[in-house]
Amino acid sequence: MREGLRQLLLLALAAGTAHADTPSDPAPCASCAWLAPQHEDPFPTLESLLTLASGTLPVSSPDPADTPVHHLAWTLTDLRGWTLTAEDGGPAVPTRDARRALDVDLRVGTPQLDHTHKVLDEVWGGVTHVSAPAPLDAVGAALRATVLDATDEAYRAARARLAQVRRNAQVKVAREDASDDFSPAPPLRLVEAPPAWRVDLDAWRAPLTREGARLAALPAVHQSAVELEAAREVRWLLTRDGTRVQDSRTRIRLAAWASTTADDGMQLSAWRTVDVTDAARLPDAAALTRMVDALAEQIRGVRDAPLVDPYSGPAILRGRAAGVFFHEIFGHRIEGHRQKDEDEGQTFTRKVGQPILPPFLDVVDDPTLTERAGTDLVGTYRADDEGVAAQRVPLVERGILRNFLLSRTPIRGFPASNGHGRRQVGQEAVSRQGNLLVEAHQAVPYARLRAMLLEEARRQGKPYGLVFDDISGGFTFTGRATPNAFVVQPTSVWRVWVDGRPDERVRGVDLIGTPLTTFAGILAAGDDPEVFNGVCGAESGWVPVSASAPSLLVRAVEVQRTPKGNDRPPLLPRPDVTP
Amino acid sequence: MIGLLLAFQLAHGAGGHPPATPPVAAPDAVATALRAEVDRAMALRLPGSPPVFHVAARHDGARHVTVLARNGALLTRDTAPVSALRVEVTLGDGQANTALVEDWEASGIRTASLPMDAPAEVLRRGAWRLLDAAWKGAVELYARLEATRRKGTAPRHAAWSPAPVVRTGPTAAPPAPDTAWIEALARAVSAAARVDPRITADVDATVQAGVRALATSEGTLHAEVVERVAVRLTAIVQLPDGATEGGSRTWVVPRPGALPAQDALVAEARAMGTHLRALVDAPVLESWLGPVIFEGPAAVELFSQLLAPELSGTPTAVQESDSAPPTPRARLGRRVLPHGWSVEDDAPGHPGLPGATERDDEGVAPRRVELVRDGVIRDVLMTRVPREDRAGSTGHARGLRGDLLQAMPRAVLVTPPNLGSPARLDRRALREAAAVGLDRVLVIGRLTPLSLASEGAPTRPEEVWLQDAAGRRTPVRGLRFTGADRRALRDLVAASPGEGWTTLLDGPPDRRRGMAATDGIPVSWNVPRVLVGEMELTGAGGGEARVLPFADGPLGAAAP
Repeated sequence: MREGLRQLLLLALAAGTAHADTPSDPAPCASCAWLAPQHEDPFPTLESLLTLASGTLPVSSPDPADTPVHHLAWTLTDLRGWTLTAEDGGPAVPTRDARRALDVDLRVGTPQLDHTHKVLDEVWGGVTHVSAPAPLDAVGAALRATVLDATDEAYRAARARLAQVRRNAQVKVAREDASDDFSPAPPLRLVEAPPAWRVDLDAWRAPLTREGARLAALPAVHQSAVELEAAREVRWLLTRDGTRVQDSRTRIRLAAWASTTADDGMQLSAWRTVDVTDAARLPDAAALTRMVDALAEQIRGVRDAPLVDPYSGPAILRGRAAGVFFHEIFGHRIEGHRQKDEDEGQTFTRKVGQPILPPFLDVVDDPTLTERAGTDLVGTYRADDEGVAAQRVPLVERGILRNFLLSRTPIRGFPASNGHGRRQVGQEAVSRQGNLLVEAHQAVPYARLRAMLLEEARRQGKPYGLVFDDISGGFTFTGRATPNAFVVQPTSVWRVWVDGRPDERVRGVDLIGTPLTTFAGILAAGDDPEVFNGVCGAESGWVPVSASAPSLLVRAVEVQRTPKGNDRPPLLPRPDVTP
Repeated sequence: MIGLLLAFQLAHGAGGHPPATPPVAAPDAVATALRAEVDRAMALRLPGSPPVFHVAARHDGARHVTVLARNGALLTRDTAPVSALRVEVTLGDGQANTALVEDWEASGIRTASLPMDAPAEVLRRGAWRLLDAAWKGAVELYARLEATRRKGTAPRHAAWSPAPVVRTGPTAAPPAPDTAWIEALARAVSAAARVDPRITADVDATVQAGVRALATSEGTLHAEVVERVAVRLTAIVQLPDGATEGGSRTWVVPRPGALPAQDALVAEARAMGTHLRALVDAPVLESWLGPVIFEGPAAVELFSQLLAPELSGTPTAVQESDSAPPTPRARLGRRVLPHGWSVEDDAPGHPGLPGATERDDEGVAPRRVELVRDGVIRDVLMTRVPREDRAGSTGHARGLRGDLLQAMPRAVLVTPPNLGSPARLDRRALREAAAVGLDRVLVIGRLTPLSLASEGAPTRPEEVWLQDAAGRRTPVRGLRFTGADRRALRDLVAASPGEGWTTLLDGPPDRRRGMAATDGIPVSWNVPRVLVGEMELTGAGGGEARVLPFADGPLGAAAP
């Protein structure tokens, strides 16, 4: 199976506050009807069970050895996906997916010390969260059975876990951060109808088939796909302390992908994607044609591009690359739970109020923002997965660290959630990024930034600088047991010569580094913010995120050779290509 | 490590689409497209590389509907079509080739999913890519073969059995699976098993139909329609002491019309639920050492679990690290059953069974094989890979996806020397029990299917009773076998008529456990009810009791 186009299941959140439980408009096509069915309201069932569970499970106890349930929340999520894929030149074939899941967020103990407390030096992690598949189309007795079974399982597992937590605390040293395990939050009421579909998704079959065949026919292309993915997630969340959320997220992605093998065995791939959170903003078929044209040019160019050797010197990270760069090296390190976990590197834990970036940069995480620079943001939501209202969080102001991303797990000096508890369905929420935005107070046009790159290269005695103008993703290590390094994986890199030679596309390098050193080297920012939409994987699973930044000039980046395959290109010519 | 990706989660395998659209490339066109690339692959060679000896490509294209229902409500529905290609490149010659060699890092087998409904040129592109990778793997595997030759551990017998070239096409188009029918069935059966709120009942069900196409470098071009319906009911009851007990039912048939009527399945599910409910008051039997009767599905599982590995003649693959040629898995002359017992595999004699395809995965027609006579292994099931004492395929090459093909049973008939009445078997069992100071005999009606089990064979008993001289049965629970293996079958002391043909879902000898509920290769068995002279079992109960009440009342979509 190709490693290319994949389906996005978690979606950007739509707005609204009115109470409603069905779409207001009829769906315009069969696939749209699949994605936007009539949902029967499960709240009455869940409400009655909440009363039952609250009356059955121990709620509080004067006995410190007892196991009261101090918090109980259920999230029922309906996930529907529909994908139209034209793979390797074949016809566009639809696939669809539907499932429902119940997440039980139950905490046993007290807010000060509960079963989610980290067990120090634990070899195998215990069960702290229970999730169960839920009936696709039933909200009555079948849902009751699902909820009661899963909650009972969660309670018994949490009770056992709490005993382990208490014993562990007796024999381990005290933690540096003695903050509570759980913070209170005001009840949130946010009930909104899923928006109606307005675009005929089925009409995309012909353009996808046509463009997929055109892409696959290119002699340089070994595998390829073009795809339209649409997904909708409808969520019902309620907590014992009065929160009620019904909302939905919609995401549609138009994508093209191709791969090839260079003569030295390096596997090369390139992507083009457009993400929208409202079907009405889906581009037309002509946009797909342009995407395929650009992809074809890139795959041809990168296949014949020279390899670049490991290098340290000045570089520009174009907007999307800079967004990922910040997501990896900064965003993950200001997630709240890492500040109290003593296995974490805690790069910024004690730097609140101190400069960590150049004074011309601000960084915020704003899940309430729906678009930037004309691009939809997929990390948007109005309520997080713990039922807390999303908040715009200024993280860095004029280079000074001000705040962290917080779930309902408090940290020293930051006792309350700012609406960043997020998770993939089936996982336990932790603090995560939403829409991470880097904003520059002093910005220069890109042409000026490029000139500054050449000046810096000359100053350092380097024959060239590098420009990273597109990336496929990246990863970072934040723990103490591993180097606190990051890797950003570019798909398009250019060498910009100081002697005036034309810019040259190169291949075969990843951008690497460590956070503090790299931050200290940011010299300037462009006036060209771009958005990277993707999904981020961490402790609480995969969540949709956006990262936006202007182009950044960095005094010195380091690149290392990227992993590559070693197989020769295919010996025989492609069956449809005359040698 | 924390990662950020542009995109995620493969759509294929989790999705689905309306199953009525016919494939774009006709089945014979698929085989022809594969054949073109197979022929081209014969020319794969670099200076100094070994010659290509054999190339095979198999494509499975199928529509299916797979559903999971719990307690009457639908949890998942998967209608993603299957378009799976498996290629195998063998290097060497008829005396020594890579088909006999295995290595962790190199393989001449590759698998991939191809685009659905693809035209011939797209299939050819996929096959081209995969065959190139398989050839490269086979070249590296050839180095291991050379090493075994130097060490003298390479097999001394021929490495390949000839087989007739066939050219056959499907006689009919595969029917479209009926989504509504399988969903309704799964809901009804899972609801019926929940006769008590303490029971959670799941039904995994699949209905699939497609075409399997095979092309080989010898010229075989074969395509046939392959259909299957599998319904698996599993249920768990939570007992007051915190223990859980499980039950299961499996139905595997070649097509929907061969499945018992829904009412019959519902009745069976209700019976299973009733048995599970009875376990609420059943005692834990902490220990048993004495005679055991296996009846119905338990007898089938017993033979399948303990006897099937003795019937597969596929030689164990040679590894470079081996210091001596490996011992054959199934040994001719080994006593596996008492005197007088016989076993045969007769797929051609039972063409209506789910495992009885026209051709095996190597394109060879299955033949009847007399496997056991007078309790001793006389013959074994073979693929085209021979062994020192047996050559020639019997048409039993079967495999899961990218595995090496191995000989697996298809339709096994186990015949005892004497077939007494059930009552006579019961009396004999009581005599055996009395001889060791027991006044009752243990009866096992079900074993956990090996394909679903995590433990080895024999698996955990699911339905167990103590039966007294008057035939009264008392359910007991919590039992597991201790120290039982294939030698238990040599201790069969009596048999009475069984329940006819039963089909299980199984895997190759080294891949028989931990499968998905409706995954596996259908194998049919016809075995008698049997008495084993002595077996040892130990029992335990207990656990953590439930805190919240069980959900009561009717379940399912129609429920309020």
